[in-house]
Amino acid sequence: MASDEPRYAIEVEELRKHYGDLVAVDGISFQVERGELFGFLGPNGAGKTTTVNILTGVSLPTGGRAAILGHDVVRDSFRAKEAVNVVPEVSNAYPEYTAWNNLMFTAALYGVPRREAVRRAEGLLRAFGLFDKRKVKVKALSLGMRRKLVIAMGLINEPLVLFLDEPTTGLDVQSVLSIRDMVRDLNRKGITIFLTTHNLAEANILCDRVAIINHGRIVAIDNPENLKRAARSVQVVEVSFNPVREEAPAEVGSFPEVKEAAKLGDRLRIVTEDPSLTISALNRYADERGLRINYMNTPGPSLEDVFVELTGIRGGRQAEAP
Amino acid sequence: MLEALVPERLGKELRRALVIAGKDVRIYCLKPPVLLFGLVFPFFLFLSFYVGKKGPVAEGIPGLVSISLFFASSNIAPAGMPYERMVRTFQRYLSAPISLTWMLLGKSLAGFAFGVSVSVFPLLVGIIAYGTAIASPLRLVFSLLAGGLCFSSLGTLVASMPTDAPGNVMTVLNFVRLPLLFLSGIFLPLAEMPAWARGLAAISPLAYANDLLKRSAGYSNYYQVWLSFLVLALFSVVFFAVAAWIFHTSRRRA
Repeated sequence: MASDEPRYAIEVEELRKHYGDLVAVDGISFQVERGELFGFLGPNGAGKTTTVNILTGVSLPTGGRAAILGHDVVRDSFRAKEAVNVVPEVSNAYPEYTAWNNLMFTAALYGVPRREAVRRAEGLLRAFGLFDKRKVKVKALSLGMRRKLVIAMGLINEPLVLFLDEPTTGLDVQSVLSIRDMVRDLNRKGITIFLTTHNLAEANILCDRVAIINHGRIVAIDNPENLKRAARSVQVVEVSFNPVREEAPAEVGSFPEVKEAAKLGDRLRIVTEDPSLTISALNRYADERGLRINYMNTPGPSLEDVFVELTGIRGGRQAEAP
Repeated sequence: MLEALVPERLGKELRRALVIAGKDVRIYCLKPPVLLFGLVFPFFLFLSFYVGKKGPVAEGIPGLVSISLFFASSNIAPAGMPYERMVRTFQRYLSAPISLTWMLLGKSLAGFAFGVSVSVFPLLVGIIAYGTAIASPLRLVFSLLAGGLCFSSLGTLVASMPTDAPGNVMTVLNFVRLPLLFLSGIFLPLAEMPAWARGLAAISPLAYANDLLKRSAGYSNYYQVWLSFLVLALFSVVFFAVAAWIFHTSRRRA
């Protein structure tokens, strides 16, 4: 790295955004290293989109500062925007334009010379399996194809920092896997990726680090494994009984040390404060009811458990304050 | 702040504004609201007023050119921007390396280019079919350019309404345009209007554009030529400045 190059791709200091009395972003601070694949997680209304909107110039902050590759997003927004591109949650290609025209327009908007734009557009369309569809209007493309096209539009200026907002939402499994591979490849090529997602499994397998935002504040920021280790109060036991007992979630859920028991396929996933005590209790429970234990494991907390622990969100709803 | 005035930066902004203008003309000039309210509606409106009117058709051609210029120039931004908000493509401009003011200039230029191009058709029909004379070609060109700039700025101002429903914006646009049209002196010459109507006509930019176009075709005008150009320029600046202010304010609140 040259000495005059900024260390961080994204720097955020005490960033705030108010809408009247509503505080959408409440003094958040974090840094994203160059070349990092950074996940930004949070429930709906937590402040994710507001933060991304400020970082990408769509909105202005009420206070604090943010910089992209050392360029302040308010005072030097032109240069900051030249270094980035955005793939928003909604696939917002121009429906009346063909795939090719969308790429060429985006290239021109980012100042890519025409000849270079043609070369890049051809390369991207081939890489994304869209070359045969280049003359098709966007409104005639499938959802997955549109998503890929919008990602291609996000890469046409070869950005140093790419903002990806829910890149796989609403796509079929094949498209999801293909887009995840693309994201990994882009990151391997050195592009810093700021990934906003609801999908915790996706963040877990893709991201170097994740930040969790709730009520406009960052509640945790670390790599996924450290976050899982940090959530000490979340311990999980998984068990499978034979025969399957329908009442098991409610009955096991009533054990004193168990915080939650949920059916997960043919297994029971139990969140507990004391795994050892729970395992003993499960053995007794099985003996008393003549059940066989087919499977038992203590997998440790998932990123989803950490998320629930930190945000109080369970099943898409925020837990009531005690 | 001063960096925005560096020639290299200005060049980039201008090129990108032209890219937006070109895209808008290609996408929106064939959209139904643009065709309906920009071409068909003004043509039939003019026709309905001129049918049965005595006097040579050639005399009405400057009025038809004015109406075409007025409706077509002011139509692209109000048809395009709410639609772009609806399909979220508007967000692309905000995150792209172009300032909001230059982006709006691109939007206005699209209306300007479309309006001036469209207004050439009735002019050619007048010259070829009805013998409309062009007394001052240079004045005619500058009148079309000044009128197109002013009316496209008006369109950009109306398009600054923070809504994603194109129908709402077109309604407001026509609510603004129709009174300005009836006060323009196209259907009733300014000199024949009652004093109060002439006073109101002074706030219609179309009155000045039409006056200039009449003069360019060799007919008598009401306002001084320099005054008409000055007023059109002032209207253009005010419309654009207010539109830019509204967009900047909306962005702060977004």
